[in-house]
Amino acid sequence: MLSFLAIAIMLSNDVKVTPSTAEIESWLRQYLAKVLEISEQDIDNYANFDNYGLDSAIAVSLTGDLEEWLGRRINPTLLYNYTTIASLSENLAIEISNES
Amino acid sequence: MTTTSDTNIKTYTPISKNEIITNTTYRNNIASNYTELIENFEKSFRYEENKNEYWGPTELSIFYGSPLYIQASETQKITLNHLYWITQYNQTASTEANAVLYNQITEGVFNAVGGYEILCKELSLETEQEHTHIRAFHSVGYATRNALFGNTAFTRPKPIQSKINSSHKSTNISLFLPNLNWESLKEDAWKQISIRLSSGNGKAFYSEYLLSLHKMGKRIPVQTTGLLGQVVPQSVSKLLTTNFGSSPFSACFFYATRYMANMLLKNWEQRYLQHYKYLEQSGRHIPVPVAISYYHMLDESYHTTISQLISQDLYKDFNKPTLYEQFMANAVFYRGQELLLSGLSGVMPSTFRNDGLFLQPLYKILTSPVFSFDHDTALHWLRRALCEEHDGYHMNIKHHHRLITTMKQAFQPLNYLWPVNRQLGIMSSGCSIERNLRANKKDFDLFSKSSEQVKNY
Repeated sequence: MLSFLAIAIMLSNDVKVTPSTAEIESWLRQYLAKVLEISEQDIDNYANFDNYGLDSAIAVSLTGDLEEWLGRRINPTLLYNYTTIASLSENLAIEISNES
Repeated sequence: MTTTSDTNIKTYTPISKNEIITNTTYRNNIASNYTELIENFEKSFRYEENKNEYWGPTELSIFYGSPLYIQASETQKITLNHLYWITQYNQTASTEANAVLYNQITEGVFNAVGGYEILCKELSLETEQEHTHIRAFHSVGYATRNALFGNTAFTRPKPIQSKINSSHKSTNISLFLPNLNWESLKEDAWKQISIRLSSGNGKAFYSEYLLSLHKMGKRIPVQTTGLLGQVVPQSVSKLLTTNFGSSPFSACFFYATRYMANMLLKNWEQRYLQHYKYLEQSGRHIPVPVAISYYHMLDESYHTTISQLISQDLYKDFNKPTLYEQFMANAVFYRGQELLLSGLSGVMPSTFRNDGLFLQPLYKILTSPVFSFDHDTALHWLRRALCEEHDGYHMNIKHHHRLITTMKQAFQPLNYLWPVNRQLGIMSSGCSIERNLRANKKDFDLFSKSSEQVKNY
């Protein structure tokens, strides 16, 4: 019974991921590479999202997809304030660890 | 307010008009439950349950009044109505993200000055409310985009043209001085410049919020979207942010830009409020986005009152602006008029810029399953919507006239503004269908010339 419950919890959408800065960076790199249809190697962690031609609409999709991955809601203003992979990952990791 | 006289006898000075407005607004805002209602509506939103109804009056639809709209099916018209909602509230979310940042920075100035406790509480409350609003707009936008276009399809960006410019690249100097943190030095320089050129009392009124960022070793955020993010070039964005946090005058000026955003929003959101009331009175079902718009407008009414109070009256409590502050305020205001108020969209009602910026997303809508047009057909309808005179332009010019009147009333009293700003000179002179058709034609020709790239995109 217990193991069934444990599996159910693991499979449920309520499972929260608590990733490190590096893991968030990696997720964002993969995400952008997929959206931009370019190699992950061409993604610069320190380049502004604007430079990739991403407008504010991407903030909506990115926030939604990030929340699905993390299994938790995130501060919706993070993507407006931190507009590089490096700065967003760092600040998101801090926020998540503060909540945990 | 309590003061102590020279003879140590406590006397009570009459409460000022500004204090009455602040206290009343805060009391009413804290007693209201509009934000909670928005949160509940957001959590209950399912696109499937709302997809068959209009989310506002039909005229608040992308392409409204154009030849394309006239021949569109009822289902397509409903979708264009939904897309207008999510597009406008995407822009609103960005501008509210500006408010979240600058509310905190300017609240830090008013706190440093002292004597504005209720105002600071109200600003904190507004910041919390903006978080809920942004989240609601994101949720509805995300679910709608996914339902209509599939994940990421609609937000697919333009191709990268060349190497990405990273701001992190080493310079020759930094190679020799590896421990030097140039970003931090730059921020410190902006801070010193802002303090020296401001009407504030040296460092005494420097924003407590900015100080806390410095102490935590955090960078000052640079926002590139929303009203201020678009108006101010990225290169001077941090300087402006530091200015807002350096003196009471500049802090107050932020609320003039916020007031401008409030009025731009109200110009179209008012129609959603009327639509909600119409549905309610006729006992009809109210789609979730209409309810969110309705309660958002009620929630924002407190924010608008505060924007008006600070920008029109409260700034008089403080030192007059220095020439530098006056110049910066006027430059920002002028640029705001130029960029956001002097054009005329033919496809986005109540949007006052030319359509060049929207060409790519509009093309994506036409080639998406909503219309399923091939490349040539999509260009044909785009050209007709943007480069031919139609009812959409005439309707939008009415929205523009209404906004000019409201803006003039709002900014006429600000005597530190240049006449061209106080009288909304750029906004008033830019509104011509002919001029905007010419600008759209130029942008459209450029867009269609790159059609091979677009086809493969």
